[in-house]
Amino acid sequence: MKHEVVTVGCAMPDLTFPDLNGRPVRLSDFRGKKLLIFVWASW
Amino acid sequence: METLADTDFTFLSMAADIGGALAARPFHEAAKASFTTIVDCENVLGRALDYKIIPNSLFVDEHGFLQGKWLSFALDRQECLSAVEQFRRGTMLPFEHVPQTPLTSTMPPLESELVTTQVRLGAALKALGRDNEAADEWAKALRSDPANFVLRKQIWLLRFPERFHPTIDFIWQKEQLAREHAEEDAWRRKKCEGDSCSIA
Repeated sequence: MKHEVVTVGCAMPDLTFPDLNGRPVRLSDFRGKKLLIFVWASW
Repeated sequence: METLADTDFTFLSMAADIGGALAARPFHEAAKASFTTIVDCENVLGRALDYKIIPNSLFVDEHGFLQGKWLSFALDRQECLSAVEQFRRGTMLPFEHVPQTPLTSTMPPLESELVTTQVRLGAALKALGRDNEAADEWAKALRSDPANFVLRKQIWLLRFPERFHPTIDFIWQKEQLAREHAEEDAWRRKKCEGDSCSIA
């Protein structure tokens, strides 16, 4: 399967991730607002 | 960062941590955060957007389009905060900020697909608790993609957990990175002794 990379100017994939309590959060839940996703790790 | 939050702007924290919520929660709580933190323990978004450096920030407009990608983003750097302010005010132009790194990874499409498969296989093995096999699979991917620091640190976390708990040994990380770069340079030189040396 070809892996399409999302670049600047493209629509974000509508992915779902759990929050710290396991509740699902969809990226599309934030449509209608500007969204800053800060990606980090504990390491 | 929370002071910038308003009705038209949302700050979302994403922990790209194979340790999952258990590893991320102490940092979220230490920040006394009111924003949401989500967990991407398989680096799903990283694969989709092809980022290999953390921390980073992704600027997504109100229509769901990616308008900015800043790798090696720091919340305490003024230039980063200025970019956020411009984004919030609607004066930011689309951009991609990629820092200079000592290594770059330019792979032919077939090799790139192989790396993606190895990363996914590693994630599946990790999910099954087969950590050693996961680290081995990720190490194969890293050999083709040495600039992938997300992958490199995930391997370290599995192979050297004592360097991450109870505290993170950043001095060791710097030394380990130098050791691994030296080993990788030697491996590349050896590979080039044959007839199929890459000139990329």
